[in-house]
Amino acid sequence: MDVELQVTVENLLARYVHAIDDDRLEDWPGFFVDKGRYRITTAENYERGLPLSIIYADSRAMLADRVSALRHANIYEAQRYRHTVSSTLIERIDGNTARATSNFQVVRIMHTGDSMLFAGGRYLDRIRLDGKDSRFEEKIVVLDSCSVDTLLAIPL
Amino acid sequence: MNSLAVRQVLPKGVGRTELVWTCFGYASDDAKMTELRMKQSNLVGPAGYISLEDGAATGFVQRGAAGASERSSFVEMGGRTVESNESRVTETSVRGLWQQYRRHMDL
Repeated sequence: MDVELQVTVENLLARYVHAIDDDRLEDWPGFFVDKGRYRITTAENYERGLPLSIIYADSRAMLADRVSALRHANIYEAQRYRHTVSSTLIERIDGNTARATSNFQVVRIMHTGDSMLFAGGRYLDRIRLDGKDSRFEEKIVVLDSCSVDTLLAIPL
Repeated sequence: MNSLAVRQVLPKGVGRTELVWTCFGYASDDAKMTELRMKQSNLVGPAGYISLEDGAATGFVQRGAAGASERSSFVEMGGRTVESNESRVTETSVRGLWQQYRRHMDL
């Protein structure tokens, strides 16, 4: 097992979820390469090969647009996430790229104090390796459930 | 770009409704058109730029209605009829939906 690779990827995943959970959404696009792809879909759609996504972006700029909309345009009840990422399996593609599959769960904490298990599933990631500057070339968030409670504002 | 999309409203109980979103492509679409449709679909669904707030707004209405069961209100936007219009910026089509809903639900 390539320990350095494992640590590099798990560290990227940890920094990614902490940025979201700490409401540092402006940092979120920076975890992707410039032409990085981000997609949230359901296991049902993913397994049937259907392209429709809950969120679809093919550049860091599209992710920055989404953060801007969340901050300035969209109106939704105040809420936070707490991500847990585990069971990360990594496969090296070449010297600069790796594929990672992880499980994740997200607890959503509403402004009222209510907490619920909001989302769970898999991260299917393709990562450009560059030590502490490693970034996602592609991140596909595959939700186990086919339904989302009320709305999905903050990214997963 | 026009796209065909269907939104199914599935009542699941007094306090629960599910929306099922289906967006269509066409057999004649090339890869570039499919890509455009995928980008356009960011407008709809639970994380849609336009529709994200719909779930929250209907939740507010549900909470308000539950706390005021003896009261009712009615906003009459553009009359009571169902008819063809020049523009889609009208409440006419949704009135048509609710007329059919009342008929099917025996209200």
